Amino acid sequence: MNLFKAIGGGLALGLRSWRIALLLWLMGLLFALPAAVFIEEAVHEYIGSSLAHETLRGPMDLAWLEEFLDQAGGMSSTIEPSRLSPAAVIDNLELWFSGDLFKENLGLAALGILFGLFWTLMSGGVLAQLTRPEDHQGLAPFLAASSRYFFRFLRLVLVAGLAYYGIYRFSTWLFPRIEQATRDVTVEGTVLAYNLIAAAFVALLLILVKVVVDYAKIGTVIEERRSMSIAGLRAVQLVVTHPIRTLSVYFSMGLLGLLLTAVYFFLAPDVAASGLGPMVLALVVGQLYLLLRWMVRISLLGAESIVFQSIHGYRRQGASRL
Amino acid sequence: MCFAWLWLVPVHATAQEVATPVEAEAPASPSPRNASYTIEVHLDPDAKTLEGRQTVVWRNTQSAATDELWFHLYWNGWRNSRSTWMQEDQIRGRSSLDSEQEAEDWGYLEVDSVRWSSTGDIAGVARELATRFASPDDGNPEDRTVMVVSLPIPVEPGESVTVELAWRAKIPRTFARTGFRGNYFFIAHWFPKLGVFEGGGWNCHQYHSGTEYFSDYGVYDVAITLPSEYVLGATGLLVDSVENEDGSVTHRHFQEDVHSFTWTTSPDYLVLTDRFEHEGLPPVDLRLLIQPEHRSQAARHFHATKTALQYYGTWYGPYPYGHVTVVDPAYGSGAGGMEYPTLFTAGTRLFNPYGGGSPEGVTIHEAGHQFWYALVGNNEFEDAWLDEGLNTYSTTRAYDQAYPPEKPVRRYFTPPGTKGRGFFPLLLEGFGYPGGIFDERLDGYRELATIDRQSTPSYLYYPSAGGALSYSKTALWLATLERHLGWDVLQPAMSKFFHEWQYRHPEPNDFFDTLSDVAGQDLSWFFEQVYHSSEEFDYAVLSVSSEPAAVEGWVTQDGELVLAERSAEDEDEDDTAAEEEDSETLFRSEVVVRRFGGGVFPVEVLMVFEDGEEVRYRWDGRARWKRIVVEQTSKLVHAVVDPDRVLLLDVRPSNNSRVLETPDRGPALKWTARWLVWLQDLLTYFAFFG
Repeated sequence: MNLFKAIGGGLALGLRSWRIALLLWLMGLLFALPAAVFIEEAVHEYIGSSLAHETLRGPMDLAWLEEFLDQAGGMSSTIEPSRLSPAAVIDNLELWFSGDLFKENLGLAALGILFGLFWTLMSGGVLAQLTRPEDHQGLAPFLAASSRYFFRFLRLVLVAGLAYYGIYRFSTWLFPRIEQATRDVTVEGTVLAYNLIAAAFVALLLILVKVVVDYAKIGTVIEERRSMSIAGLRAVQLVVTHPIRTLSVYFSMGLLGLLLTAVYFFLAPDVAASGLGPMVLALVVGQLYLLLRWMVRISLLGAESIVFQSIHGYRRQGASRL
Repeated sequence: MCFAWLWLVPVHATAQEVATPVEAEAPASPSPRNASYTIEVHLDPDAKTLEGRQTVVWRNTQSAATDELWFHLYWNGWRNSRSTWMQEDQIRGRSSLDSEQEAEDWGYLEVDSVRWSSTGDIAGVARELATRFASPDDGNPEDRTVMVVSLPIPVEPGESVTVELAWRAKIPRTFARTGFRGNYFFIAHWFPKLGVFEGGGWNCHQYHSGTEYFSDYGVYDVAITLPSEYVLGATGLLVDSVENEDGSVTHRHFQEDVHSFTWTTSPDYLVLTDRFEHEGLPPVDLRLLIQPEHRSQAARHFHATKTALQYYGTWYGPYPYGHVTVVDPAYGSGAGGMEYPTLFTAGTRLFNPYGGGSPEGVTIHEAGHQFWYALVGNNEFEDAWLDEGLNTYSTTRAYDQAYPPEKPVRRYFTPPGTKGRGFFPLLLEGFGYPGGIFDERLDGYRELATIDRQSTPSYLYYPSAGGALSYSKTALWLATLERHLGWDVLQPAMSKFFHEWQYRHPEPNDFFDTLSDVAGQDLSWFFEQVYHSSEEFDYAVLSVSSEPAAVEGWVTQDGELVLAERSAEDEDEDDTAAEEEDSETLFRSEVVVRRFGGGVFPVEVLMVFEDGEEVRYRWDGRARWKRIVVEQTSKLVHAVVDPDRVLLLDVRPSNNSRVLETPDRGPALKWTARWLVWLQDLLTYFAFFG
């Protein structure tokens, strides 16, 4: 099984599983909507009966936004110019990389953790659908598979969480050391290069953990494992013995995800446009981007499943050995 | 209060026998030149040290005598953690005392000897002079930033004294824009420097973390010895360079009529030159010391410098020195954005995009300080707002003249756990300040608007309040004055102030008096509020209504009291009239305006009606609230207090207007929809960990 076949197969699985992507997108929207309703009310209340309701139809008046933020608390304080623009997706990439995802806002962190748990729940059904589609047609089998693997995956995620935390602590140790080591370097380009190398290393560590978690989940579903320790160890063994295949699939699909983010960033409608049409268009384009992101995510799991089955000699779309 | 200048010096009878008389009553120079320095300094780039000898000639321009000389030893502010500078810096929440502070990072300025070298012998008087440290501001016995030299005899008014000092200094890793990073050195406020003798005493404050400097004008003749590969940028012009036997080079710089001398050196500087020429203004030679990685931004530095020279020169008065050095400091050196006579630091980053305001904004600002501070030399310890505020106001205006509106910039890739800012900047489109260029200043001011009076001496401001009070507040009240009086009044007033106080030390009242004088009106009511008080300004339209003009209750009709009752039919007719906008129907429109803040300012109230007619009502703004009633044949649409945004100090402009009809949720939905995409995308990142 070469890389292109795995990716092609993963993308085909992702396309075929569009209903799952739609479900995940919808659930993401449902998770976010209550917060959005709260934000909308806060913004509307602050606009009040002032003429800002006219000016804010067009470009964002930063003076108004700064005044709003000065009195805002809680989730309302997360409204920053970049987050109201297509750059929002880069903001999130930065938050993810810096570990500030959990420090940004308590309410949002709680919401995010809930969503992470929701994804942990769903991932059992997703993997069952990807690896044994004939057994998991329809919503009920999908949900049954989701619940069947949830607690096993939860144990896995808790262990992975420790690894992620370790990487976070390592990165908050590493970058200040680089800052210290380069305190006599007067060329920004050189300092940037050191930091980029370090960032690539930290990202690699994160991805390694992520890939191991993915293969542990896949192994759990395909091999019906109950012990997450064994599933995890086998996943480590798989990644160690087949680093090129496992990581190249992840990087290729990750690149596709970044490409999608870049396309959204460049094609997202103009922030300054006023009227109902541009507003709806911006919302639709944003939602389409999010839906496609889920499809890429599912495609990645599909491609990883194919790699797993290929390495272990399992028949595609079946649990029995060849 | 423990100011040095409150202390009166006794007059000694023998003074005139030995003190050097003034050469001529009125020196033919633009400045008094009463504090002049001849300095020889040697840099050891490996040990990060300076060794210097200097001769100081000081002339007493005051009407009182003194038998002391007070010197600033600024670098002792970074001698150890007990100095006043370091203690205040901790309150500011900056990280100067972080755990990574190493031995080599501290700095000091140690004076080895002070010798009397005035002409004439004084029998029985030692030439070696006694010194002591003083802490006139806070009594901190461990602060060594002020050194008092006792003279054997007093210096009478009009007389001069000459002293020689030998000193050593350890260059710190950058504090307050001064220090080293690798082989880059920025050397500012580096030598024992006289305070200002005024009002019968020495005005020589300790070094504070939130304030800057104050000194007299003089002539500087400075010889700097460096390794030959080092490029030098310094105040003044290069007079000569001499190669020494040990391979080092001694560069001699000379400058008249300045109040300080600063230099920088690094082997990496790329030196570029240009020339400013503009009709009606004297030409200025520009010398840019830029980091090689910023070579592509050189033209932007030159353009911004020329922008400042042109607009400040046209508005206030010409730049007289004929040359200026622009320094692009090394990455991470922390030396950017600072002014020194005939030399200033800008500051940029590798990928700074055009349109984001950097390096243009900081370059204009620091070039502008050549006017407000280098030429008009106010006391930055006590009245920092006088140069920072006037300059911030002028920077904003000049930037607006020369560049398109600045766009916000978001910087990405900030390494976790570090103090740095992101390496990759991104211009954000679709955001701006439609209310005008000064709205940007409001955000910095609003939060600290009431923290202190501007008239509090700057060094006594709460350490983090200086930015809001000195920069933003002044810029806002000057812009308010511009809109209130007109640019055609404010510009000549500032120009007059500039010309009258060049090479001198103005105080706040000098500025206020000039403005009132040129405006032809007493503006003290305004300065009382913006300078002597910490009140904030906040006018708001509290409510609006517009109903057909009908009366209920008792009215006099044909000499008789009649009860005017409204029947259901009348109300139906009113509603119909309102809907059909019957031109015969008279509408009674009422606007209630409130003054929430303590500040008082005359404002206009604009009422806009459905037929497009506008009614403006002038209100003196004194009462806490005002009801304005207008009867028109058209219904009111909205009302705005201060519709032309004259009062830029109004801290909450969003409450300045009110519409009659309840607005739809369109804008809130628009921005929430954007935020929603951000949140949904954020949630997918949490799924990464699941």
